[in-house]
Amino acid sequence: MSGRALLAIGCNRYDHLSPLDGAEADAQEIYRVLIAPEVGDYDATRSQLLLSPTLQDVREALTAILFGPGQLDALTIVFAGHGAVSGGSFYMACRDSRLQGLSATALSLADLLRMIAEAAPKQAYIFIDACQAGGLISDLNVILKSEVMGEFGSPGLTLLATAASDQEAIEVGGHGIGTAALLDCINGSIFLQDTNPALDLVEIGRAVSDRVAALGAQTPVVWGLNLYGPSSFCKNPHAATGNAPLRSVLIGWPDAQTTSAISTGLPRLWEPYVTIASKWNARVFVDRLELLLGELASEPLILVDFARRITAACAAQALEADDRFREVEVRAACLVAMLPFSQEPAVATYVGQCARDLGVLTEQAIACVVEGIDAYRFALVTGGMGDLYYLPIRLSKLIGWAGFAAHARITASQDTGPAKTLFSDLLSRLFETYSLSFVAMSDCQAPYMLTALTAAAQLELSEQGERLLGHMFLSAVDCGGRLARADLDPAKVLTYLLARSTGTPAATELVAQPTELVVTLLRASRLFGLTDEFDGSLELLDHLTLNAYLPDDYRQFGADHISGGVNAMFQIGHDVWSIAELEAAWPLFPSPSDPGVSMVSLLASLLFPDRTPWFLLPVPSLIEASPAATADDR
Amino acid sequence: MPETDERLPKGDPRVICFEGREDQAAVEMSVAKLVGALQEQSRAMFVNEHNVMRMNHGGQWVHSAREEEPDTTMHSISTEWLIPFKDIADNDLDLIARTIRSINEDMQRQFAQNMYATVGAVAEKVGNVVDAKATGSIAQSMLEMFKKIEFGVDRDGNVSMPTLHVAPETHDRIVKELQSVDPEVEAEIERVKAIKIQAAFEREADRKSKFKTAEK
Repeated sequence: MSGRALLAIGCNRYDHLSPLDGAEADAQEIYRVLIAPEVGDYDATRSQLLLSPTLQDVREALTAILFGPGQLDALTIVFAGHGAVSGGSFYMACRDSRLQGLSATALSLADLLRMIAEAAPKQAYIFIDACQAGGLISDLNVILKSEVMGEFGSPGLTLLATAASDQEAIEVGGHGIGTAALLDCINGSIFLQDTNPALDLVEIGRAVSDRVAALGAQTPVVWGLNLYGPSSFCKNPHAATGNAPLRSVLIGWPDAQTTSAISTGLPRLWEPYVTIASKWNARVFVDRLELLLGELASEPLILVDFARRITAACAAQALEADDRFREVEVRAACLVAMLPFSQEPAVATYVGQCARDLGVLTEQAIACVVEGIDAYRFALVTGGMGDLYYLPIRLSKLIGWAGFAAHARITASQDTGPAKTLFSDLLSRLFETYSLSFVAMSDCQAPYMLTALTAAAQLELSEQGERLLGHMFLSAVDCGGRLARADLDPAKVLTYLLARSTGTPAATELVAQPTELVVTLLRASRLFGLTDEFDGSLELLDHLTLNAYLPDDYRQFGADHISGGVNAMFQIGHDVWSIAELEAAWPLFPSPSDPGVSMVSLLASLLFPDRTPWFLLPVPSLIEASPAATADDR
Repeated sequence: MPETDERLPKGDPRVICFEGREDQAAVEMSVAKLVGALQEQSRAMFVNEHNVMRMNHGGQWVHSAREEEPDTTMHSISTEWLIPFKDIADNDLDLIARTIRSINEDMQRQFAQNMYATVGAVAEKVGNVVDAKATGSIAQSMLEMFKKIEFGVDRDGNVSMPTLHVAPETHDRIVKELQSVDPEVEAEIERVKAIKIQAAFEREADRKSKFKTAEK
């Protein structure tokens, strides 16, 4: 952009009027934001920031900007300070202004409009955050003349005042509330549109008006005249970001309250939504979506409808990713965000149905992986030293998700044949090329292994399950159960790998202490008749502390930190010497009450692997004691 | 944390200019890491690294294969500190040491209090309490203590002897008194120690024998 000038005036200090606190900060912040090439792209050499200036300072600046050399395409004038209406005219008070004598000592809007009309920039924007700023309307007659505005090439003019003529401007947190809303529009926190590359002050004014009026303190006024030509107040941060599908979620709600809740909360989701394909972070996504869903919790049917639409929009965005499982993970995250509300029957039904559908989608992704390995056996290797650590984890994830697909069919009493074939195909491909990468490397493998092993057992894939478990357990014993902690800093992966490769104990800060993966492998041994074999190796894990986190309320199972429940701890060689003793001492804790909730809890553990879905593996005594528990606890 | 002053106008009066939030946050994070490292050192004085457990969820734990323990809830320790803006404006570099030392001492004190309270509760429960006044001397108290406690065997098969935690003045008194212990009491202490060491080895052998092996 060229020929763009900005004059920002903020006046805190007054010689004859009471001082203000935030006016200079308002002007400074707007100037700082708009002068940036990627935001306002105003010409810094032609723009000025005036802090508590005199009237003469302002006039000199206007003269230089309006009548200096070069064409003026866009002019923006910002004023924050005292304002007053006197004799039917609006005045902006400068440092030396006097209340008695405004016409001689303050900047008259009428004069400013005359100057603009004479200089004739293509577009002029005036933003005033001042008391009684709405009174500027009385001065519009200055330029509402055919000889000024009616001719070709006469300036387009937009005025936004954040206090009505009889109201006072309020300051919050160091900024006027009107200025704060304006800045939110400029930086994209308030979504306006994503179809034009630039924003206009009229559309910003409408949003500012909605935001400020909702607070009940001020009623901004917006006037636009002669609005031809393209918008050019500032660049649009949402242009071409692909927000359109998510934007469509905003329309079609039954009442204003719901619409308001959604439109207020939705901007929190912009960033995680836009970065779904490029920088997926399930934790940030779930946390932000859950906050938004919480606003609608009192209306379960609306909540479900909203969740369905959000999921569709986000899943569409996920298709942009190269990762074959991104859509699966995004849909899973949308379901996990619904867990806190799953006591509502409508929500439980919805998540149950979606989990079944997600099982099918997961099968398609797994089939794609199988095809990929058939085409190139090393298809799962990304290359680099890091794969020595991450490939075993990635393999666990793959079979964990395949296990989920099987559990989804089992829970829904669907035909398990396709899941069995697919799971078997996947395992056979992986054994063929990657069997030595079935290694117990990190404690984050616990939920994946539990899901995969219980699925293999239920699908009667005994031989493959036994082989898988054998590989994992032997590697766990080989390193003395000192597995990497689930949240190991990637910068410390090499240190951990070096310790394992040399057989020296890895530093305590690097390892999972206690470990949940080893207890997973031990307890899974009975699924494949390996209990006696594993018992014989327990002495090699002497002193190792095991832990299983058992929640008391699965609605929290997607939270970053789950507050309730208990950590069931066992120390090998001190509390337990055999797997039977471990099973006998296993505490009785609740399972998810609903099949849909149990599947979404399972998804939570696959997305956030610092929790394990122990309800998939109830202790034998509980199964025998309660025939009904098998179905409920599965 | 920001200094508060009622004389200041409402809202944050600071002027934001040329701020580099990420850089600032990185420095604050390095301070947190330093405090964390110091806490690790303090913790190592009381707890063997093998007994340090990290849990992501829940507020308590249970060893369901053991007898009920007196307290299995997690305790939090916390501290707060104030950095006067004036010290920053004065570029007082001693502020770093002053602040971090104060944080570390406060955290260390709370951690020690928790440790002694927990150890004390367990000792009370099993009757492992020696009344120094009733025994009459430090040497007799030591003898009484050796009779009541059991020694452990560490992961390398060595007997681990008990550790005494005492106040500095008590330490000086113990050292002084132990230099003139009655030979009979000293011999009795050594005899009891030998019995306890033997018992520790026998318990360890018994513990290990509980593992199943291919032959069993």
